[in-house]
Formats: sequence, C-alpha cells, structure tokens
Amino acid sequence: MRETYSEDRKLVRRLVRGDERAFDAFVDEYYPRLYRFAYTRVGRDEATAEDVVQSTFTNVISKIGSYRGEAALFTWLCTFCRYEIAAVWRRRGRQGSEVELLEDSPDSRAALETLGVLQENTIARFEAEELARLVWAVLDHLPISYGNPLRWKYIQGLSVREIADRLGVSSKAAESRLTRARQAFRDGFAAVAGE
Amino acid sequence: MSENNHMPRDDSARFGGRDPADGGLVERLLTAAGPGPEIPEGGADRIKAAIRAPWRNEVAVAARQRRRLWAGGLAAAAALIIAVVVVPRLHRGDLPIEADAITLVVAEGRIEVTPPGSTVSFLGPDDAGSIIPDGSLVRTPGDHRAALRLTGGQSLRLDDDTVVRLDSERSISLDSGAVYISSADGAGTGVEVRTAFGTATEIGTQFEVRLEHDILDIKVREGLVSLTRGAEEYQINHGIRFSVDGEGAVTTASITSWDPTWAWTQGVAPAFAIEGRSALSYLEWVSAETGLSVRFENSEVERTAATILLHGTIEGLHPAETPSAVLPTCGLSAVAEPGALLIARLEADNNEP
Repeated sequence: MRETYSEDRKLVRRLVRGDERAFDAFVDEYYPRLYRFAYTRVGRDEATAEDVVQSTFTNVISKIGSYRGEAALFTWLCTFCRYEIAAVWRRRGRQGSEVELLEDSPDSRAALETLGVLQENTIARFEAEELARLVWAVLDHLPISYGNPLRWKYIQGLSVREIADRLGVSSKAAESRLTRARQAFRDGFAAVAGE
Repeated sequence: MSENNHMPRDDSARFGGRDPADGGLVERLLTAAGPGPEIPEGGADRIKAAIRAPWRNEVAVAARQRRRLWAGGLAAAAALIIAVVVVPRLHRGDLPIEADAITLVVAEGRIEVTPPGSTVSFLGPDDAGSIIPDGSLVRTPGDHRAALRLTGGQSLRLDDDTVVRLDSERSISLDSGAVYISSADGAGTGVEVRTAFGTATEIGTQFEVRLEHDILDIKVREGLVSLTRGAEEYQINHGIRFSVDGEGAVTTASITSWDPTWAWTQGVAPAFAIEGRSALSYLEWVSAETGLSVRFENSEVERTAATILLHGTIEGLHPAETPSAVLPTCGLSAVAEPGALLIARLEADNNEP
C-alpha cells in the first residue's frame, strides 16, 4: 500500500504544479470510482449521485494541496464524498445511517487498507447484491494499476493482449500485473469480508 | 477441502467459468458482481468543465503564495544591497564558466549521493560547491530538489522523487523522475539523458526529461533535442511536448516556454551573480529562467538597461520575483504581459515609497 500512496502523492504534486495531464488523469480515474461510491449510498439515484460527485470534486480541488499521502487518495476523496452524501440525506430530512453499508463500518473501512486471505466460505455468506457491492468497493480501493486490469479482464472481457495495449506494456508484463492484481484483490476482499 | 464444498449449489451459475491459472475465485467474484452501476456518459467531461478553471486559479494562487514566501524573507535584504551605478556604455557578456568537476549548486532539502564503490552521503543547502564524482547515483526524495553544474557549465536540475546516475560529464541516466537541462549562459552543449525509453540529446537548449508512469515525457523550452530510440530518431523542437510510452506510441502537443509546469526549475535556479553585471545581462537571465521574453518600451530604455551596472546580490530570490526588487533601483519597471515582460521607465509616482 505504501507504493500506492507514493503514486498518489506524485499525482497530487503534479496537480498542485498545474499539470493539465495530471488534472485529466485525476478526473478520469476517480470520477467513476466516486460515482460508484456515491450511487450506492444515495438510494441509487443517478442524478443525485452525479451532483454529489460534482460537489465532491469542487470541494476537493480547492484543498488538493493538503493531501499528505497518509491514506490512499481514493480513501481521502471518500471522506469528502461522505460529507456530501450526508448533506443530501440531511436535506431530505433523513439520517445518514439509513444508507450505512457493510463496507462503511469502521472495521471494513480499515480492512480495505489492510491485508487478509480470501476463503471460499467467505463468499457463501453474502447475497448476490451485497457481494457485488463489496466487489466494487474492493476494486475501487485497489491501486488503479490493479483495479483497472481486473475490470478489463473479468468484467469487460478484454484479452491479455488488449490489456497490455491499454497499459502500454508487453503481454508478459500484463500477465504479471494481473497475477499481482488478483492477489491484491483476494487479500483486500478477504479483509473487508471479515475473514 | 474442495472449493465446491463451500459454495451454495446455485452459485456456480452466477459465478460462471473459472480461470485455471490462479484467479478462479477472483474471476467468479468479478464476473458475478458485473460492471456495477452504469457511469453517466460524459460525466467526467462535465466535472472537468466545472472545476478546471477553479483548479487553474488555485494553482496560480498557490504559486503566488510560494513566491511571496520566497520574496518575503529575502526581498528586504536584497533590496538593501542592490545599488546602481550608471556608466557611459558597458555591456558585459556572460562570465566564462570554468569547472572541471560536477558540483552541487543548489540543494532544496537533502539529496542522496552515492559515489561508485562508496556509501551514500547526504548533501543539503550548506553543501553547495561540493564535488560529485562521475558515476555517482543521485536521488532527490519527495519535495526535495537540486541543481548541479556539469563540467561544461550546463545546469542540471533534479525535480523531486528523481533518481539519476552521472555516467560522465556529458551523459546522465534517468531512472525515474525528471531532470531539466539548461545550456544557456554560455555553457557547452551535447548533454545526453539516457532512459529505458530512449536517449535524449540536447543541441543547445533548455529541456526537461521526465520518466514517470511508464511514459517518457520530453518538453523542449528552447532550442532542439534529439531523441534516439533504437533505430528511430526524433527531432523535437522548442515549444513541443513529446511523449512516448513503453510500446512506442508517440503523442505530441505544444507547450509555451512560460507554461506553469516549468515552475519547479526556478525553485532551484542557480543564483545570478549581479555584481558588476549590466541590467540587460540580468534581464536575459530572467528571460531564460522564466521563459518570458523581455520587451522594451523603446530603444532608449533598452540602451539604459545596457549601461546600468548592478551591485549586490539576489541570492535566494525566486527569478520571477527579482524584477520587482532589482529594476526599481535602476529607475525601471517590469509589466507582466502574456508570455513577456515589458520593461519601461519607472513612473515618477511609482518611485514614491
């Protein structure tokens, strides 16, 4: 995870310097993640989720220089997003606890940053919808260099060659990346699922 | 215990097929989860449109604040020691640079130097002037930068999080991070920067080579750079940002000499020794460091700048901040224009404290 934060710090430093490409990469990488994060927490309302994400980015961009790399950048962004989500529920006159998800519990949030070992019987404990949500949460908390290749291969069905092309590396390197990504996913999922 | 003993009977359908390599379980989880909520089309573009201008504003404000910090602590001292002598006609060229070793000129923070066959040493701001042996590995940690002077007089600046090896007086290997080479100020040319993605050779210029995220990024501020990648060779002109990834995919874009991404190079710019130099000479240095062209209000102002000699020091000041400290002592002022500094006579009213 330390390596992840190092990459996150570099991205933020480039943002602070005014690097336009870093700005585009920042939004492109974190918009889908934050949207998925918000969507499941605002009653699956697409328009509200979009509003929440836009408010999150608006707030974040004025404070981006305060990111210190003490947590993953996505985790840091989620704290802003949670605030916006809570504001939505306050405006609706409801409590934020109504959207409390398993992955929102302090233990699970800590576990998303830690390691564990995935066992088959972990999976059997969850309903399909809950399982899917956990999978997305774990994918979004993985380093981008792991989360994206896993999505491309197992959800979008891309070949290793196509993944290699997207990553700008050889097929062998892409295979190696996928192996490490699968291990990271297994560890992360086991941790958040309460192994 | 087999995997199937743990799975409900109907899970096999929703998990789908298995990857025999290792990811069977992971594959089934991801396949079962599916793509997740559909991401709104154009959503990221809408976010960019909404926050790009505020972000640019934040960057500009932060840059101004950093410059104020630099100037705040040192401008007063600089202003006290800058004096002006007007002479009939004297325009000295740049002083010759004589050096037979690579030296540390500026350290912003602490850098690591590992000479060949030796252990790591740490050099800081007080170690300016230290000789760095050929073959040394130099590393700048996060938020630490440095400027070295190569034996040909070129300025080699290291951004933070950079690792380079000084192979010889004209060749360095960039492992990661970014370096900026400036052969202005009468220095020699022909320094090459070797990377895993190719070798960039300068042909009288200022340029940056950055190796991050498996992408080689070359920005040419002034002059020309040649990049050799195996049998391929590219000529990169000033004003061009050239990128190539591990598979050889090339993209190019234009970049101005005053683009904000050059700003880090000023933070470790070696101080210009103004003592006995003409204001014109000093302005040429400002132009080289900031990327701004210098324009004179009229030929008389240009002649004046050439005949004024400066005394004192601007050491420690950010190059972009120095005109406001130096020029008023010469009866001149600098007005910022897009990509340029307009040098004019200081209005009488502006001379008032």
